[in-house]
Amino acid sequence: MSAKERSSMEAEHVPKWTLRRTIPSNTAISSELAAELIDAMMQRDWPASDLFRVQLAYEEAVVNAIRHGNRHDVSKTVHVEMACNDDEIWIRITDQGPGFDPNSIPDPRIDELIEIPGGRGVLLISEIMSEITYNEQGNQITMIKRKADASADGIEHE
Amino acid sequence: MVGVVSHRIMEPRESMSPLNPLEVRIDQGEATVAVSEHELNDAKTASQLSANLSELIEAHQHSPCGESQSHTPDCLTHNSQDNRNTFNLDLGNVGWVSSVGLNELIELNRNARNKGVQLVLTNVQSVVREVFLLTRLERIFEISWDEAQTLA
Repeated sequence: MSAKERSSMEAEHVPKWTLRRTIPSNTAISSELAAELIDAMMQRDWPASDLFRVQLAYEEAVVNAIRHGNRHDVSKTVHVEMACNDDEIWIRITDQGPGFDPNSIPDPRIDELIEIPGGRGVLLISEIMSEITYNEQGNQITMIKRKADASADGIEHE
Repeated sequence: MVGVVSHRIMEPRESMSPLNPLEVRIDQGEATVAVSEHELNDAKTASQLSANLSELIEAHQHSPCGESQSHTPDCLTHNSQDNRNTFNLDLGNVGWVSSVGLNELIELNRNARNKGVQLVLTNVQSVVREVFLLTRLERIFEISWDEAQTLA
C-alpha cells in the first residue's frame, strides 16, 4: 500500500468531531460531556435509539471510573476522549485507580445472580456497544459503537 | 430493536439535592407511587429512595383501613387485603435507568416480596423496558406491559 493510499484510508477514519477533556471525579461534570457527544451525534443523523444507548454506556463507564476507579477522590481526575463521525462513535475513559479485571465480573443474568445488585453497568456497556477493550492495567476502557450495529437489537427475537 | 425509542437527553445530575416527598395514590386500596428519574439513577439519592419506598410498602401493608388519603406512611388506606399486597411503582416519569437505578429496584423488589407484597412496575417507558430486557431483569419483576406498550 502506498503512502498516499494509506493516507487516504486514514483520512476516511478521521473523526469529524472530537473531544478530549480531563475532569474531576464529579458525575455532574461528566454528564455535561455526554450532552456534547449527543449534540455531535444528532448533527450526524444518528438514530434516536443509539443516542440513548451510547449515552447510557458512556454514563455507566464514567460513573465506574469515578466511583470504582477513583473512589470519588477529588484529587484524582478522569480523562475522557470521544470522537464521532457519521458511522462510528469512539469513547475512551481513563481513571487514576488501580484498575480492575473485567473478566472477574460474572454475568449478572445467570439465575444465581439475577436478584443480586451489581455488575450491570459493565453488562449494559457490553450489550450496547459494538466493541469494548480494556488496557492491561484495567483503568482504561475503550468503546466503539457502529451505526446500524446489531448490538442491543437482538432482544426482540428472544 | 424494541419499539421506537424517543430520545431524551439525560440531564446532569444534581448532586446533594434533597429527595422530594413521595406521593402515594390510593385506588381501591391499591397503592401507587411515582418515582423521580434523577432520584432513582443518582447514587447519592437512590438508596434513600428505595429505603423510603420500602417503608411505604410496609406501612401500606400493615396500616388500618380508612377512606382518607394521605401522603404519610402511617395513614395509607386500603379497602381489601388483596390490594394491600400489591404496590405499584409508577415509572412514567423515568425516561432512562442506569445500573444504579436497577440495583435499587432489585433491592426494593426483594424487600417487598419478603414482606409478602407484590411490587408492580407500571408505565414503563420503552427505553427502560429495553434495559430490563437487556439485563433479563424482566424475569424477576412484575411489569405492567400493557401500559408500557401504550406509551411506547
